[in-house]
Amino acid sequence: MIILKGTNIGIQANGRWLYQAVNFQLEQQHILALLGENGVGKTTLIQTMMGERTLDQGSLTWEQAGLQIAYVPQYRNDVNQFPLTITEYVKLNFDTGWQPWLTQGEQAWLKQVLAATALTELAHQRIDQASGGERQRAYLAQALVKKPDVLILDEATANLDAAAKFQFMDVLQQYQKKHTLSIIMVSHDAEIVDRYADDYLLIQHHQGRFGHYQHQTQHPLLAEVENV
Amino acid sequence: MFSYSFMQQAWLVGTLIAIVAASMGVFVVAKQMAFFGHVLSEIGFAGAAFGLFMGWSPLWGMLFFTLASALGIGQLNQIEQQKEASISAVSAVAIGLGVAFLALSGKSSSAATGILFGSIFSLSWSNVWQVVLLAGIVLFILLGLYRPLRHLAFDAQTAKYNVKHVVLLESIFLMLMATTVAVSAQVVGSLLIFILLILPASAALQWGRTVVSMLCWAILFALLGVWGGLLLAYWSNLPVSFFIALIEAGIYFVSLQVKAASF
Repeated sequence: MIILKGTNIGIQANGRWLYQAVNFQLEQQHILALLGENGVGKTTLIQTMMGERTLDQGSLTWEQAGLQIAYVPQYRNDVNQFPLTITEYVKLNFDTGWQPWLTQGEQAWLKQVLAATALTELAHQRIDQASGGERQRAYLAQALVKKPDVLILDEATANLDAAAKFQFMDVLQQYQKKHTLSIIMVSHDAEIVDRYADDYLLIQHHQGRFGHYQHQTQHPLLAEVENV
Repeated sequence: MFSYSFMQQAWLVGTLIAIVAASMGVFVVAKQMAFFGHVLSEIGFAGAAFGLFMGWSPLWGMLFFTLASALGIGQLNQIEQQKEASISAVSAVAIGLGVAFLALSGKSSSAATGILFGSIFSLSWSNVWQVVLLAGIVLFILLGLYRPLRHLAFDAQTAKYNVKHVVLLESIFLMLMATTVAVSAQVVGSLLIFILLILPASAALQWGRTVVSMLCWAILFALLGVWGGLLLAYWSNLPVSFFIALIEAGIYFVSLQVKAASF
């Protein structure tokens, strides 16, 4: 089942085309890797998905109404300034309703999310003292609090060591097995894309190339991206 | 000393304002809007002087000016560029206006001192009820909007995608801030708003690890300052705001030292 369809997409920056005529689709339960050099306009495309800006050409169509979309941005404010505990940081996303405290249902869901992201043991640790991997999992947990149908990750595994980045992706994959979740993932990491992506959209030379990811055979594709 | 009605009033108003300013302060500091809080207090000074000039209560003049400028600066913030510079310009004009209105009103300089440094021992019961009402409104709205405001203050990057009606929420927050500044100026004066709005919250952010615990610490620190200040002022006949400033600054610096040492 198709969740999101991009047709003939074009985006401009400062009056010149970043790319034109890009087509892609996101299927349910798939991981779509969004590839391309820095500055090619990947984050801009994500911003249009989040409704932050409009397309200069073409259309983005969500195939169902009322989908919950969660976004894990690449950069965060300095979490060191007033360090919250990991639980508290995750809880920030319970941001609807009048009641200041969490309901029983929310408490239970919070517990599940922390367990699913391997954070139960670290729940009361300060987020500024957490490792890079733990912090990324906390950001992920925060996004999952909303029970999203679609998750957009912007370079979530950049700056993580090998162990941490595979743990992050395994946590994500395990969660995806148990819940309805389609993922769009911006990444530069060949190993990650090779191991986890179902589909890819490569933006290069002002064009987009979309396809089903052929594991093992498609390293040249990644090599093109890796060179940057 | 509680047999004096001015002392009862001071205690009631001081306690309420400590709670409101400290709670708002946690969000203001987390949103890194302390500087804006300071500018609002200068605008409040102009407003209070305007109130005197018009023959209103200074509180209403202050509220009028701070609310109007909170909304105006909220619009400026949407444009974002040169934010600091434009806020400084607004602040300069505000102080100038304040001086002008004071001169025009023909009031004695004690009126100016009252506005700038607070006049908690010379409140009327109608002042008291105004403060109770306004403080109650701020606390009520803050409690009702606790969840979205918490997200916005402590993780703005994701909040702007997740929280609905962010612009409306920001405007409401600015109005709450304006009201808090106007009300708090009754105790500590418009020049010293920082000592109840920013210092207890900044110290609390060193200690608390959840938003609720930060709120509790901030309220505790603010109450210590206000109660201590009232007692010392009663005994010594020196201004309350002087003691509150000393106590709050002391708590803040001790918090910084203790936390720096614990790393």
